[in-house]
Amino acid sequence: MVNERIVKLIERLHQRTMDGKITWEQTNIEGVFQIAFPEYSLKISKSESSHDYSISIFLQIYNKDGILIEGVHDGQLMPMIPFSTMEELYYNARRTAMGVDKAIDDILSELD
Amino acid sequence: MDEIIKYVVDHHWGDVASVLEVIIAVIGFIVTIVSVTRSKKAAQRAEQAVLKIRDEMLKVDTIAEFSAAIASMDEIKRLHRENAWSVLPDRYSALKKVLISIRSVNPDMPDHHKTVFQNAIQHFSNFENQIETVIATNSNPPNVPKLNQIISRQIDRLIEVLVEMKNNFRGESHGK
Repeated sequence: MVNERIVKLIERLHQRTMDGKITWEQTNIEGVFQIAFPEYSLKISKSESSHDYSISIFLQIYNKDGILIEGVHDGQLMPMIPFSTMEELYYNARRTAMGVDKAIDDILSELD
Repeated sequence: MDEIIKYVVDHHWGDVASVLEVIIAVIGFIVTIVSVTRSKKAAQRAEQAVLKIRDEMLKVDTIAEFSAAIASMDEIKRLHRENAWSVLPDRYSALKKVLISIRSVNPDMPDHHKTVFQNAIQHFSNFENQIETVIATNSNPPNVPKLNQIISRQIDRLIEVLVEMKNNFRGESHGK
């Protein structure tokens, strides 16, 4: 059973990411993105099952020494957090980390 | 002798002596209080001086550790280019310790500085885990330009923090 506070954390993280209030960044591992706070950091990643090609989204919490202290995946969060929310969080984290919006804005300004 | 005693008694010299005794005692008491107060102030000044020296030494240590951390990051970038994977986990770990130490001895640093440290510490933890796995499983080495790009970004941010800290230190020194 996933802690209610984790659910609250993901909801808030999702909202802040969607609002563009927090910026994720790329890590050394392809498809893994992280965000730091003064004493903790979070990483979000996606994996595809080689068996049925289903996608799972993982969120991990690290302490101030960079040690993993908690990890959850979308399957554990159902039904409190639907898969679509986790997927949206992942893809928006990726967008901010890769600077997709800035790239689009720059291209649009060149085209104008 | 009797004449002397009579003279002293007639002229109330005993009373005068008592009054003088009281006056001397009061003066002595005041002198003692003043001395004690001065000693206390001197001790406080000495304590403040020691605290100030300790504070200055901490600042010097912080700046020296900062410079060492940045130099170590440049060295790690070079080791990446040389594919010296076997020595890198120890370098990441040592660098993390320096970053954690700087943050620990400066607990009053603002949150945006702590975030820069946390981000760098997390990146080097990620590197350490990845390279340990590469070594253990003899798998393909990671993308060096990507690793070095991440390090360069951390260096830039840490230099910004260092400059801000130095400015704050100068401001504090001038303010004292």
